[in-house]
This record gives sequence, C-alpha cells and structure tokens, in this order.
Amino acid sequence: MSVDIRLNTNDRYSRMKLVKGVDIDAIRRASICVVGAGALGNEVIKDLALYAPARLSIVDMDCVDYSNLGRCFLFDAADAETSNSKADAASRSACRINPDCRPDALNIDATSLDSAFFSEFDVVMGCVDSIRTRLHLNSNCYFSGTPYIDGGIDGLYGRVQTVLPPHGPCYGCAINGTHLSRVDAAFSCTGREANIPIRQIASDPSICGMVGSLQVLQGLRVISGTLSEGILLFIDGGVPSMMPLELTVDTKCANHILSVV
Amino acid sequence: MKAIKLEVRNSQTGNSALMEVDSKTRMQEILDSAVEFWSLSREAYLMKTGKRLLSASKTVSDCGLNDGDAIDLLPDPEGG
Repeated sequence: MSVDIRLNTNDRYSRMKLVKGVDIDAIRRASICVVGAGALGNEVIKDLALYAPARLSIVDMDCVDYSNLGRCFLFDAADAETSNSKADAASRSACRINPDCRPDALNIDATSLDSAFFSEFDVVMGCVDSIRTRLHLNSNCYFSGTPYIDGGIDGLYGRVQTVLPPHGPCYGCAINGTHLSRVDAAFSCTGREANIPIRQIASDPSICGMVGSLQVLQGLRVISGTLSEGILLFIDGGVPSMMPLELTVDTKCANHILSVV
Repeated sequence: MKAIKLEVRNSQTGNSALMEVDSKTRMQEILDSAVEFWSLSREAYLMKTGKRLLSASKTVSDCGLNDGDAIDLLPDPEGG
C-alpha cells in the first residue's frame, strides 16, 4: 500500500500546520491585540499577519515619520510624507502580506483602553516605548485575565516577558525604583505631564526582529495551550546571549495585593 | 550585625564594585548606590544573581544572599 505524503501546495498554511506545539486552527480562531506599531510592533504584526488570526487589532496613536523608515518595514516614504497613522499603515501592509489578514486599526492612546477592552482578546502584545504604558497594559490585562506579552528593546539589549494571570508574576513584579523614576520623570512636580527632553532609545533592526519573533512565539504557544508558566527573557545581542530569568511574584506588587483582596 | 560583602557587577561596562551591607539592607538601596557610584544614566535596571531576578523590595537576607555573592546589574530595555 502506498501513502501520499505530498504537501498541499495550494494551502498557504500547510508548512505551519507541521510545526509541533503550535495549533494553527486555534491561532486562526484567535483574537490578538498588538499595542504599539513602531519598530517592535512592525515585527510582531508581520509574523501575526502570516498566521492571519480571526481578529488582529493594532493600537497606536502616532503617525509615521522619516525616522521610522530605517527599521519599520511596514511603512514607506509615502506614509512618512503624509504623516499617515502608524496603525493604519501597518494594517494595510499586513493585508498585503496576507490577504486573509484583516486587521482593525485603532488610532488611540493605549492608556485610554480599559480591562473590559483587553478581556476581548486571547493575547495582548505590548510593543510600547514607555514604562507608564507597560504598567497600564500589565494591570489591565492582569485584571481581565488576559495573557500579556511585553517586549522591549534598547540598542543590542532586549526583553520579552510573558505574563499569565491569575497566578504568575507580572511586569509589576519585575520592576523597581529605577523604573518608577522613569515614569515620574515624565511629570512635573505639580503632577501635570511635563515637556522634558527624553533620551532617544537606540534601535537595531536585528534585535527588534529577535524580540518581536520571540513575543509572537510566546503568544502562539499561549493560544495553542503549550505554555503554562510566565517567563522573562533577557537578550544581549553583544555577546550574543539569551537568558531566561527566574522571577517570582512580588508580594508588594500592587496587582497581587489587589488580586488577593 | 555582621557585615556582608557583595560584589556588584555592571553588565554593560564589565566594572565591578564591592559593597559592604547588612542582612536588612534592601535591594533597592544597593541598586541606588550602584547607579550613583557609577553615575549611570537615568534608565531602568534589573538586578540578578545567577539566573534569579532580585526583587528591589526585599532585603539581602530575604534574597538569600551571602558573603561573597555577586549581583549583576542589567539594563531593562524600555524601547518599542
């Protein structure tokens, strides 16, 4: 008896279906939110577009400028020329990459979104450039029970943290006074938002690619049900090395104190 | 209270410093001292020993650190 082992070449997902530990049907049914469509968001959106989840929401209130073009391949010069919305431009490019993917673009401040909004998703991908926004996403996802996968880049360094509520450690468990002073620095002593010069964060396309891909891999595993524990990965592209850091719940973390109450 | 000597290492520069602390010293104090000592820029940092992330709200004793242990300071990337 002979068995036909040829792959279906008409199915664009045929090779993805062969990956062990990734449930392509669950991913195609999933709702995923990407917050931030900058350098990191571009990488995450590209990978997710290839899978075409049922719902892909892209949140970003910024517009494309020329400085984005060096590392954001979903944007082009016309987007920069017309100051097109990052969420719109990324959404259009995702459709071009895979016509099955129809993202919805939300041109709004992520900190205006609440836990009810995030509860609509199977996974939220944080690709933002501020600790303040990370804290907002982390708390709202934690309380809505939505897995949150945070990515961060700075030069040749990267971070990927997977937060799995309701029991695992969260972003708030990993931070300290140096993070909080960064949040405070954005405000004047009156509590108003201050217009102070901020450091421009170095961005290397290769590190963005690594961090974004790892975020997506973590997200796909969460949706596929093959990831049961949160993790914090620290990437040093200068060595190069990637180190999983052991992280425990900080009993003084506000998210965990409140969740106990 | 017996002094505990810790080696604090800056992973970005390779520099290290010896700090004498006691078991009740909070990890945040060690982090703040290192940032000030090396005049580090106002960024976010993480502390680890081995592969274990150290909580800033805990004390040296809570973290199970002993005389001669090393702490690594890592930058915590904020960009996106």
